[in-house]
Amino acid sequence: MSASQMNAKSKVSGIPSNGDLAGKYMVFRLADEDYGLAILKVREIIGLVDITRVPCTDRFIRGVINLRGKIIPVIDLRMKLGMEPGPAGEQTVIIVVQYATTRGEITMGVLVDQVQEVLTIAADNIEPPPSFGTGTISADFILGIGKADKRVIFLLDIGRVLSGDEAKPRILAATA
Amino acid sequence: MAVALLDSAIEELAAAVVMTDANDQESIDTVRRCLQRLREAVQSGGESEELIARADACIALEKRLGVLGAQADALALGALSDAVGRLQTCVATTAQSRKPAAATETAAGHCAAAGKSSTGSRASATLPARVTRDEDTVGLIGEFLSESEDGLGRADQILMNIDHGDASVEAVNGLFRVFHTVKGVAGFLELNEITTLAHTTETMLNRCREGTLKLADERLDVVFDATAMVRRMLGELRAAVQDSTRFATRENLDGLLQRLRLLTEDTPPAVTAAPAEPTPIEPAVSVSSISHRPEALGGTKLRETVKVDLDRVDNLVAMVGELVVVEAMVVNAPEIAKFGSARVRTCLSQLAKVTRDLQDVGMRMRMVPVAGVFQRMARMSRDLGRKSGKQLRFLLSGETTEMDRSMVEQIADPLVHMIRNAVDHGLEPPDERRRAGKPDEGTIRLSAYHEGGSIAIELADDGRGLDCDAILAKARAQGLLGPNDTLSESDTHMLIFAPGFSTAKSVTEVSGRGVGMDVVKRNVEAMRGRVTISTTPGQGTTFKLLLPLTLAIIDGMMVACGQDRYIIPTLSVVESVRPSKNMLVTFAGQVEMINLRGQILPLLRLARLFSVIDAQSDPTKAIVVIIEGMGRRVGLLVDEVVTQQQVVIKSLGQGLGPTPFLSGAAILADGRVGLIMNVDQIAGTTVERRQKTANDSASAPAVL
Repeated sequence: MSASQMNAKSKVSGIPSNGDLAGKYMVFRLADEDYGLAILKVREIIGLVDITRVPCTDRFIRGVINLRGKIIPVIDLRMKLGMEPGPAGEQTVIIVVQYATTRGEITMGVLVDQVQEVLTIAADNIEPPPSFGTGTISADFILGIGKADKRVIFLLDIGRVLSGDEAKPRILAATA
Repeated sequence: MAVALLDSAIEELAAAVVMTDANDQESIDTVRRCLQRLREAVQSGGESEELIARADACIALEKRLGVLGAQADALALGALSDAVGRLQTCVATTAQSRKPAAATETAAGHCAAAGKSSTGSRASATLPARVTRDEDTVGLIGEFLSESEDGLGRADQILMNIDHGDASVEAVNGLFRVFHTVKGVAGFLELNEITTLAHTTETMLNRCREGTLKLADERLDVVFDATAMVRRMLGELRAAVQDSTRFATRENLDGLLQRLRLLTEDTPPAVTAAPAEPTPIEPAVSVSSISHRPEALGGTKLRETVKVDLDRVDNLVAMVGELVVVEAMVVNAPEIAKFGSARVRTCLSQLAKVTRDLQDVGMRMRMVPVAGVFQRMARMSRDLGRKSGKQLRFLLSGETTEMDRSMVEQIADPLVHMIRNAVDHGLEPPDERRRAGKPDEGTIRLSAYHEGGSIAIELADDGRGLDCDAILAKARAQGLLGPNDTLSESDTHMLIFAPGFSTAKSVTEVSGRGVGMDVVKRNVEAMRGRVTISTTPGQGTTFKLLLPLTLAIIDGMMVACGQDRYIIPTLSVVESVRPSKNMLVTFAGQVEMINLRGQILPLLRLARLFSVIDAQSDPTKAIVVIIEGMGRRVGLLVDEVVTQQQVVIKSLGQGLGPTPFLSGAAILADGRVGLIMNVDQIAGTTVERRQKTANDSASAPAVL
């Protein structure tokens, strides 16, 4: 499929085209996989601080932290994606992301194993998300797959990942 | 011509009526003279249809004036000003038929300004003012100042827009309204110069509004000038009241007034222009008005208000809250404690004091007295009493008690329902009261007072009281209770708060309450408050709302459970005890209860509720905190009570999804986040269980 065909297709379906996806990404690791977050969504990166557990919430919610007087939730991205929780290591950090929803701006912490670098990924190096089939963690979380130095980087749609409405049924489906 | 003459006569009359004082014969005579002129104008106007209509109105007016002469009181004056209003409406309609392009505006606003000329101004300027300057008036002046300044700010904005090409009718209307308001209030306060200027400007603007003049160039300039002039005069007024000196503007209004008039007179109605020579305004007049009783002013401080975006206030309060936390962190830091320096200690205690004061000021910014809501309730109860055919006395006390602004608004709704209930169901009809040996007149007392760190709002009636049997019967009929279930007295009373617990039919006749009472509970709980009922059959019922002082800060009790720390609002804590073995009771080995001096309360293990792993499992080594929510008491088993402290409530934010049993979070002294428990929900879990079992009408208890 040529790039132009693909662009045309994705425009029809409302998915951002590869051209829109090109840009700078914060690359981080979960287990031995690489993920990318659009740099514009990232507010800051903080080391692992005391997280206050919030009872009776979803498993993937690690709790809340005090970010300079503001209380923000922190989610464990591994658990959110249906992976096993990893041990908190030296490299474990919280990426503070901010994204817009219909209810306004939401600030959240995302717990990841390790932050690697900021990469600029060109449109040519971005593949559309493959179809994973039904019943698995859906491709909806993934904007595209970036390639850099033979690495494969899953570019996450963080808004989708974090928005509660999308998340629940998916996790249920994944654990079912 | 005749029409123009008539117009001017009516305007003069309107101005005269505004300035009339019932005790001032001279002003009444002026009105009389104006009326005569008006009559002459009508008679000289020939036989045209519109004028006949006016003549009728005019005659009616003269009759009213006759009444006025005999008994010149406020009522007659009111009638007169109504009549003038009608006359003006009449002129307005005919004027519009003359000028099809004229804007259709409400009669009062239209006519107050329509073609008014210096005649009117002179009339107002020469009438002596009679308002006594007491504290109320000073208060009014304060309000007038801040309101007018708001208005002038708006006017500036509009003028700028017009200057930049916005020629919409809306813009001119906006300007007109500003000057109209200033004129109205200034007239009422007898600030004659301001009235005159506002009035003259308004007149011109009205012409612009009607489309006969165009608001541009020179006219726009003059409105700019007038706005600036009004502002300067307001400044002088402020200074005058504060120093309790006389208010006499140093500004020379004549030039501006004349410019305004000239620009207004662009269109031909010549007759109105006749008395157009500028009338020098005698400062003495307004001096007498303000300095009528200078001793009463005695350096009065104006209570002025500033309108501030509520978000900003909230932000400030939140930041002050942060400061309190940081201050606690600094003062309690072990590194600081190591310093033996007396100077550091003094500074720290000074810091603590300033922080507390600042917190106080911050909280006060949101506080308003409950008087406004209370008075509304008093009015409503009068209406209700009349409608229901019951005589009642409505007593208020503690109206000056201050509460958080947003809460004052939120208590209005519950109060309405409670008062309606008290009148409808609580108070008996007069004959029943007489039989019970009570006075015909029922009494409802609404009071507000401080109780501990909270505010109590109490509504008491001396009616028949709650009838527990009737409520229980109703609850059984509605399926809220199993046929054989019994409840304690206070639980029974709480049933009236159940949603849909309508007593509309059967219970109303017997007694009982409950109409809209679920609203009461919901609203009060939303404010983290509590409702309690105390009632004596035949003597009356008292509802008490216990509300926190502010929504932003609460007194909290921090408890530990395993590694977790939670904050329980102190308002909901009844007591805490370390249970001994014989206080603990279990049912079927599963449902735990605590026997607290004969009171059997359900015992909830926080560890189980919040799935805490490493908590103390032996209750005799732990602490039971007795909490009260939804009118129910529940024992909550925690490891220990850590401390009591004030915390600033923060929202848990979005993105967490539902957070059951929690109402918010706070930042603790060590910078960590503490979670605040939602006591009502926690206490409610036991109610749900009970109701579930009641609905199943099964006697087997549910497992926690």
